[in-house]
Amino acid sequence: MALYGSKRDVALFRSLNKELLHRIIDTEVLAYKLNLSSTQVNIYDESDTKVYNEPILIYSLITLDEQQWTSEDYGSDVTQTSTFAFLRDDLIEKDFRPEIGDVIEYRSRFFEIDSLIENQTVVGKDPDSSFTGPNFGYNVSIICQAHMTRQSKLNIVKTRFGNSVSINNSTLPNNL
Amino acid sequence: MEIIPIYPGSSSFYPGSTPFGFFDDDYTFQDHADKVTGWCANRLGYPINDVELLPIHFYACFEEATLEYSNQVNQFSIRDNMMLLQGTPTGSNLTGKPVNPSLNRLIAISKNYGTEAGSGGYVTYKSASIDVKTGQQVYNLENLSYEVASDSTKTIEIKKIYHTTPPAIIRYFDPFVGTGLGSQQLLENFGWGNYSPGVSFLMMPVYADLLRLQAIEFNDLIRKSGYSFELTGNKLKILPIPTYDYKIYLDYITTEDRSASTTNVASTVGDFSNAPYELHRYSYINPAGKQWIFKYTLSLCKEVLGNIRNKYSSIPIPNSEVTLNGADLISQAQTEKEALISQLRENLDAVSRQAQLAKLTEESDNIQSQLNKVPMPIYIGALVPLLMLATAFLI
Repeated sequence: MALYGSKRDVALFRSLNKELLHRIIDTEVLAYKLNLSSTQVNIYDESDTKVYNEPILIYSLITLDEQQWTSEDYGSDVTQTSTFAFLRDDLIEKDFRPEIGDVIEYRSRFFEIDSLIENQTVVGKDPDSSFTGPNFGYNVSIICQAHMTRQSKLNIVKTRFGNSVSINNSTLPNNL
Repeated sequence: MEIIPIYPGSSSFYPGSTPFGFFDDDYTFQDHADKVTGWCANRLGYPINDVELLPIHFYACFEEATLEYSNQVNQFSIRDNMMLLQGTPTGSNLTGKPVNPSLNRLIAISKNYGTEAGSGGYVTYKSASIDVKTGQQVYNLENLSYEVASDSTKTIEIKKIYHTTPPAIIRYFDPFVGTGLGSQQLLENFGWGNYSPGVSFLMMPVYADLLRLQAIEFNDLIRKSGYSFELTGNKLKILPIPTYDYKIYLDYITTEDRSASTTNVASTVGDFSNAPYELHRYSYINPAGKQWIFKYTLSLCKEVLGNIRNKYSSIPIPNSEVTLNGADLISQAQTEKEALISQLRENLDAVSRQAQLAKLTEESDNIQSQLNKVPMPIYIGALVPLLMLATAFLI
């Protein structure tokens, strides 16, 4: 039986993490879960109109990379990648398991998750899968690598829409 | 999901919350326990920061601080009074009480000197004798006749050998009575021996007797062999060579008796460990002492918190890690504790018996010095008429 990394120690880490993320750093993002069952796909399992669940407000440690501007024939474009690190305990509490394709909203920008890293443990043990049992170790975080995506693709916020004069009390479709 | 129960912002003390419970029944201690807990938590940053301590930690520190205060004060009192306490009964609690100075211990120590000097002390002198034979000078002390027969197997130390010149007074011949020692014997029989020599005191001044006695002693000293002895190991050699059989008496002690005299009496104060100083009652400690206890409690809390935060050198957070201020807290706590202990000891030393006497002496010297500077009054009531009289004569 290990001497370090017991439940009591982990409780301290958990408490310190929550204090740090919730009360000291206090940065939150909106996480949108891709709703596969409601998303219409084509024969290649592709979709232009993805549907996302209602967003969940969740604390995160964010590392924004520099924005990269490019000039193409049809104009300038900007790309940006970012890392969103979540406390795994927060995700469990919110019942949100990030997956590739989910979207994170931060400062009115939308980032689509490209990859997930779930490798940060205390004393090298994940209590969910450790051979020494669930009483030792701590799986600290889920780190999401994401890239900024166009809002018009997401169908989350209304872009390029307006009111129809001819059709009363109706709006034009989104993402025209 | 287990969350560590950190300080919740309030606490409720009840007896049994401290590790030892030395002060738990003191209502003031009970009242102050929660107040000190809140104060310490605030000093450690609560509620802006979480304090990873539980109320029991604060209570334990509070109890330890009170213990430390009581311990320091008691240690000082024992140190200051040990000379007076040794040998006194252990039954009474002297905490917070003045100890009246006495010479008991000094006299007890002096008695040991008395033992060696043959003027009192703890060890009983015993008597033994040896039979002196005509012409034999050297005797083996193993053949002594002991007052206490069992001492014959013990190690003894001879304190006195009665082998001296007979007193001159018994060899005094009163020329006016003309009966020599006979008159002395006669007077002894009438119970007037102490008025010796003879009846001539009615006729002769005392110095005449003294001169005669001195003459006898000088005669012995100059014209005769001196009475003396040599003691080497177990051999006793006596001088002069005995010309008749007699007994020599001697005083001795056994080393066993001397050792026995150093053992302590049961249920009396022997050393630091059984000096009768109990813990102070918290409610009787004055505000200055309580303030010291509060500060020391805070230092102890810092130490505990520092140890908690310092168990792991770094704490993992999502995608990074942080280092907490555990080392700083421990360092602060140690510095503060040392300073508080030093301050308390300095204060205690300043009121020691010796320091107080020195202070009083200095004070009285200073007062005397001030009084010396007050001008002496000149009485002019009688001077004026005298001056007037003198003036009248001159005129």
